[in-house]
Amino acid sequence: MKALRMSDELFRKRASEEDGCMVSAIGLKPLFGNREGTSGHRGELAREPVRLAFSTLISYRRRALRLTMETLAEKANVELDELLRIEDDAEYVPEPRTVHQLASELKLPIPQLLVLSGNATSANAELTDAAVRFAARSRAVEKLNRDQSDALNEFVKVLVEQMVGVKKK
Amino acid sequence: MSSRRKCSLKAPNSDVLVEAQLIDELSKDDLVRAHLEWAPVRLEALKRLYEEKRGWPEHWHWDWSKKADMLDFLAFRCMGIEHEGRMQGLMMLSTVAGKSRLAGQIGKAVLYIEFLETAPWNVRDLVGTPKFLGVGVRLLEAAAEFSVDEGFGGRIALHSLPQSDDFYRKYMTDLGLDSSQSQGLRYFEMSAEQMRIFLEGRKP
Repeated sequence: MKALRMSDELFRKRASEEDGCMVSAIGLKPLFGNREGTSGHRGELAREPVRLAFSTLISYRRRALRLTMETLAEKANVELDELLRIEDDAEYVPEPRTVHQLASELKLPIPQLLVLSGNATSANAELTDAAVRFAARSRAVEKLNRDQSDALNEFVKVLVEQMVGVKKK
Repeated sequence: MSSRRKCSLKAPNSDVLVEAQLIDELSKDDLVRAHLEWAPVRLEALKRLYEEKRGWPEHWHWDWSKKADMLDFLAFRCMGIEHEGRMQGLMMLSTVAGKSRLAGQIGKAVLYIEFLETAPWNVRDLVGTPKFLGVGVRLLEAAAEFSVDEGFGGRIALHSLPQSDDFYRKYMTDLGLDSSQSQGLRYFEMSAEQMRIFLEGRKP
């Protein structure tokens, strides 16, 4: 970590200011994981991360293919504004047509992408689990680091394996 | 990979600084061990507060061992300050970027503190004389560093328990009761500028 630390003199002052205080903080909107005093249904917990996984997947896949937002928007014939919302707004549900075009440009399976984007439902627990894990692992930092690349690769692998499974059926 | 660095804590009745260590990535076992050390001290304090007809701290029931599973996800990281093998404070961070609600910074990435607590023996209301002072300050300092390192620009956010509002108000902006939740908690943010003031003690 970079050295962003206060001087000893300032720390003494701050530490004295802390004396008598009860220092605590509590998170309110966990995306994932266990929370004391809460008991949500798995499906309810999963919905937001699944949609988050879609945003992240589009963003990472685009970056992995070294496409700018403008380039992808142009190639997929999607409005740049819409692509921005897809990557940035986890509550936005894009039109199925948009999902089709992005899937084909990014070489991702369409049925799974429709589920992740909120356009279709699926009782496929494996896909949900993979999406939740991907979302949980991946939205850490702006840079696509090794962990994120691994997460992307693992998730794409699950999507592709599912596609193969569907075709076999 | 977890790393340690020196960080000092303050003795309660003097200006003496005591060397401790900041651990930037704790394991699940670390959290369980911290809980096992903290729980008996907290229990004794609660008994005393009950006998003295005084109120209990709002986080009296916290159990860090139950938060350990959050560490299965890269989206969470727990830091701690250790002195002679005993955990003096813990902080769980969400590395999923939150969005700033501060005027002029709305939408910018912000580091969200999921949980923060100092060991019960460092809280005057629980033990009379705290063992160390400044654990909360050191954890906020570590959060500020992490926020910068991870590209959040030094911005930090958290929801405070009411008992801690006054502490956070010293260094962060109180954005009031959070209307998006019903627990009656206030939402605080530290801007990049406030972070520098917090660390440097003056306006840059």
